[in-house]
Amino acid sequence: MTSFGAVFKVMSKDRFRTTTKVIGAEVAVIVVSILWSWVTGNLTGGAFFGLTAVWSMPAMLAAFIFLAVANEHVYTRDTYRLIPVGETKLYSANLLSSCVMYLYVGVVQLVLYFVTITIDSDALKGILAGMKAGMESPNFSNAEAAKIVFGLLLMSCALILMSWTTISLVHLVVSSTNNFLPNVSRRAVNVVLYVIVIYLVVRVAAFLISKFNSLDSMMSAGTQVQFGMNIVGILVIAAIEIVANIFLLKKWVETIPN
Amino acid sequence: MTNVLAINQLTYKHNLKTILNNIDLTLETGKIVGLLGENGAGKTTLIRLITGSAKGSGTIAVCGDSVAAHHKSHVSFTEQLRGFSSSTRIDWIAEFYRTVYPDFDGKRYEELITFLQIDTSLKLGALSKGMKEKVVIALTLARQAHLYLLDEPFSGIDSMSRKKIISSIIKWKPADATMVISDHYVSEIAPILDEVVIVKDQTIYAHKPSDAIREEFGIGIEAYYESLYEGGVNHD
Repeated sequence: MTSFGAVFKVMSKDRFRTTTKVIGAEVAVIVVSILWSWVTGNLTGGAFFGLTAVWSMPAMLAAFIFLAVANEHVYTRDTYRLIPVGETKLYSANLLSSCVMYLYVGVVQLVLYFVTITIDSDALKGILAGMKAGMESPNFSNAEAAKIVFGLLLMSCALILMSWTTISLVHLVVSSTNNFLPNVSRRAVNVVLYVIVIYLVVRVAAFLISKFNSLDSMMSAGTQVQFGMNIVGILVIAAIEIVANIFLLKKWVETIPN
Repeated sequence: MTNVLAINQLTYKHNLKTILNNIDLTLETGKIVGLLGENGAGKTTLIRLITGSAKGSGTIAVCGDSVAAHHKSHVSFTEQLRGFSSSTRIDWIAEFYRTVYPDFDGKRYEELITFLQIDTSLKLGALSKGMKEKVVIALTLARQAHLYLLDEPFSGIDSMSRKKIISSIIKWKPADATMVISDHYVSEIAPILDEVVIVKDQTIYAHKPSDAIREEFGIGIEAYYESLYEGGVNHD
């Protein structure tokens, strides 16, 4: 049987290539945007950091989507399903590989932020001083600020994980039901499932927005506990979905025929 | 002789339609077996059930092991490399195989690549159908497996290369391994077949040694296969 490390390695290698392409495209777009601003005479102070921050979000979204597609390919392609490993190992390596590669994209974004902040340090001095003052104000201690950042990072990771497990759950349920149902029912079930997915995505997005909107209230101890509970809740849902996904892979999910 | 494959009461349904019904099949080690049947008979489905790519009811034991996940380490299948993008280079795919299949023999792969005249620097999307099939054959046979499942391995390959590959298959097959070849080119593969398995009417319609067909019916494998559809041979 193949080791977990070997499966993780081949999956990560492929995804590293994909995510690096996304980063390459992002950097190219940032450079073009900066050049365009320079040519048109709109290159104001803070533009380097500003443009990097603007293009960072679409890059993160693109990486998320590409990794989700890569995740789902594994479940229905013989190339991966025929690797001599159990379904649990295959699923774990697949999910972990995507998580690590998304982390890689995130770290590169931080590096880009750091570089452009350094370039724009003079122009951003005022904003940075304001932020620093805010952090050091009596109602917003360094420890609490660190807590917020850590909490938000944890929440983001949990939401990304749950998004991928939810996408997989829907994909695998559709794949499983397609084996059993006649063609007409298949289409109906697919429509129902897609409606459920859209509903779930909207709910998660609304939840995320509400959390970001209530950042100020995160200082109180009660809200922090609630925030922590929300993260645990998301992770529990993700864990349940992971168990369901592995069960579906073992029992019903077939690969796409040659 | 021991059995490399033992299938018991295997049934497979898809979209409420029965594709295979109550299949029983046993294959011994060391044989080259022709899996024949008309289009849609269920040959590919049977192969996919053995690999675990499709899920049916009943039991399938490969090398005495009936755990589906374990079959994968005994079986080498001509999968069509659908998990790779068209921009993937052949040598990258070989590296993938080398990493995930502990039984992948790099030296043998190089020999096969040379024999089949494959340019490994090419990308998957740049290959013709025949050349892609050659890559698939090289990757499949480079593994030291107990059971090789070749599903229409010669489609798209020119007749010269096809004959060359077929005549050298015995050389590439480990002596103790069994090779199942599902193909339409019955006349071309017939000389190398030890046994024939014919899938018809959702079941294994016939499973006979090639020599027995020649002795019992006085005809070749292709004629025997065709006669089953024409009703010319009384099959008991």
